[in-house]
Amino acid sequence: MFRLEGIDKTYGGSGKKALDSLDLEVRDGEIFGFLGPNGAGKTTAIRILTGVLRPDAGKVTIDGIELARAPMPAKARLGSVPDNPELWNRLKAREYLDFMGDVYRVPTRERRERIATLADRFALAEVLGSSIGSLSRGMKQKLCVIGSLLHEPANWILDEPMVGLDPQASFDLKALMRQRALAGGSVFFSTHVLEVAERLCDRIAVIAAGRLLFAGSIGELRSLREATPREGSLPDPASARGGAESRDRDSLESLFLDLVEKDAP
Amino acid sequence: MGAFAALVRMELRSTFGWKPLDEYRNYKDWLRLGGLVLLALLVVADIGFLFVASAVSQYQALKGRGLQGLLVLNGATSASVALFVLGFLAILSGFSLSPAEAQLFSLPLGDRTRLAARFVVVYVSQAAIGLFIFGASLAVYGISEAPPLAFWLIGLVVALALPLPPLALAWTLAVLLLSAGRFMRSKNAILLLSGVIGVGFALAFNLALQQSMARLGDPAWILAHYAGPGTALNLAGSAWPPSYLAWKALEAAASGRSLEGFALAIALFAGGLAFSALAVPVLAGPWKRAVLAFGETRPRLLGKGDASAYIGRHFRRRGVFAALLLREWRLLVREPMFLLNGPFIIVIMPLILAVMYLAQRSNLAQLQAILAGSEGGRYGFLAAAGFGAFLGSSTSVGSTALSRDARALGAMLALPVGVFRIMGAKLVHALIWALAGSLMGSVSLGLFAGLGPGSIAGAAVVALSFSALANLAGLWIDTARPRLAWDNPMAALKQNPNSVLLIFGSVALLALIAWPVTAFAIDPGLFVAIFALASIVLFAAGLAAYKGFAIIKMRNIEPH
Repeated sequence: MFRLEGIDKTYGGSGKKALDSLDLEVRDGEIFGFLGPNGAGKTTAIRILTGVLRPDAGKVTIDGIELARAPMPAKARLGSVPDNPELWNRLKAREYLDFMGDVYRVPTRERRERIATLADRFALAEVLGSSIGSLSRGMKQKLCVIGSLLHEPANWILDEPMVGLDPQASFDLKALMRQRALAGGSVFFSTHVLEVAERLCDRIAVIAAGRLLFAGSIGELRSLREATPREGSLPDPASARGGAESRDRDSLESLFLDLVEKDAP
Repeated sequence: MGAFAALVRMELRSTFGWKPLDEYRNYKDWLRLGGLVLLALLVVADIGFLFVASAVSQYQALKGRGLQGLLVLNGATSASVALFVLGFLAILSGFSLSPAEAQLFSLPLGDRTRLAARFVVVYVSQAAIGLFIFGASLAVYGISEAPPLAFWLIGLVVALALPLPPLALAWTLAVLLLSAGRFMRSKNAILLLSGVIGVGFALAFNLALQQSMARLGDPAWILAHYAGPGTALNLAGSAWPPSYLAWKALEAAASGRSLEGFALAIALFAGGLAFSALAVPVLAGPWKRAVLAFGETRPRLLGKGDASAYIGRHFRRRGVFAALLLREWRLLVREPMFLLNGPFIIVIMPLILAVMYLAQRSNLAQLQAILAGSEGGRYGFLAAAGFGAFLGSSTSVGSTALSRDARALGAMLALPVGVFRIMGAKLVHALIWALAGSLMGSVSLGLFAGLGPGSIAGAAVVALSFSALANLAGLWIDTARPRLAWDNPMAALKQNPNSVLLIFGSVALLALIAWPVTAFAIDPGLFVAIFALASIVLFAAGLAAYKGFAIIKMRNIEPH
């Protein structure tokens, strides 16, 4: 479980707030989707949550440990998959995994067992001796996923994890996310693929221009829209056609666009 | 603007980082430009002096036999050889399939247009080098012979025409080489080949220059060995039409036959242009295929059923610091750009000195005697310690440690590892290379100076003490002002101002330290003791202060 409270962040020299009083709570046992248009502040929030960036104000708590006060134990409870898997091209796959195992202090036996299981699941076992630079983007992404899970983190953070994955790997990853949530861990991921978020997430948050627009279940988002219909909004093509297609009006895509549009200046 | 002109403009800007003057907005831009111009002038003056001195001695030797016109032939031939080799290296270094390059292939631009634009970009840099090398001979000949004004104009046309044929040949060779097999179409293979050719060429050039410098006052030797008729340079020049035409054009111009000189120079230019224009369409297809296939790599697969044995054999736990250190080591030695532009100095500098020794053995014997004999070998000791300190502090490992890691910085900061541990691994990594450099420098120069094992060990201690401090200072500088945004690994290392600052700073400091030892005749043994003790104290104090600084600095850093 983790919590972001009143997070503000302005990048040096920009003068514009990348995050503005962001409050977010992700509970144990849930998959939480983090949605927002390009430049909304998703990656900034994830970087603050993982301790890469320091917020100007606010605090991050991971399993009750405040990140700013005790960064090492707090970070040790996270496993994170960055948005760019092209970072370690000069290392071999096994060297990267060994490095992650060393840093998270995973004992040799557990390390070998977990790598064998995960590499088999993601069809990476045959390339463990290869240079990361020779792998495809999807394979690199899968390698980062394995590296993030070696220490069995209680909280799993993934930044755009589906990018570059083939359908089978994408399916496996979603199954793994559900498996971890069922086991009591929290899973938090950012995505632009709204269909994935709709099918997978227990709760979502929508962010735009650094501000949280909504946090809750998709059902709650639907109720919110019913309660506050937007005047003068563009006609929904699906509802205009009526009939069976009108249910598209309740899709996450439609809800998301409405929400972001409403907030646009 | 036409497509070709737009392409050339874009390629020039991305290759040289050039921008029009109206884009220089603040004093920092102008300061940077001023610094670059000053550096370029220094380099031109420094190397230009060697070329001019060589040309003057050739001129004097040839003038005695009335053959001074051969100076132009020799200059044109030297420039052609250098342009072929350097052009070949420049062409090779431009081979890659970056996303930007791949996108250019998707634009409605013909392959010939693309290759022609590349040709122009390589020509621009090489023409400057050609003008520089050939210009020395041209200037010495022109000033000494006082020809009519047309001579200089013809000389300019000739100098601009000379690079065309060798560059067309270099393009042909490079495209053939990259079309030959998959092995060559990788960045590592190219860097390896370029490194071998570059080092070989630099050493050969150095040897030739050192030899000629040692015999500047010996016209008979100059005539017999490289300037006179029948020498390799002269025969090669007579057999290479562009050199021959350059020679005849300028000889005619110097003799007042300007029209003939112009005609020959224009013929040279037209010939070079025709040769290049012929090469571009012939090579365009194979060039495109080679570039598109560049960097194709396949993972090396483990056999079926081997994976579990592999996992059992290779995965094992080690300490966090050891893991961080191993990561630093692997990322440096496996990135040829980092290795060649950084710690490779430990190998190349002693090699250059060995070449100098071979070329100027008679002159250096005197220096060797001074180093070994004077004041109980004090100068020899200082030279060994100084050279070791220079090599140990010039590897650029410490002063680029954070910049090199810019891309992975975000991922590193997300790990449950303290900042000081991450930076500590970087420092220890830099110290390992500092130790290698200090030993290499002290031992090689100590042996040259005829020092005993005790003196060499003392020199190595001084060298390592200095290098350790220098690397800590380098890490400090790079932590304060890291270069966090770069596309090319070279930008993180060779073009990093921190690296330049540290190398020049170290040299200045070394000179400052050497002065009291020579001026006050301090005993080497006492000097080793004082220097080592002072360094340990300074290092410990510096490290303690650095810890707090690094933690604060890294807390506020914004990785890209």
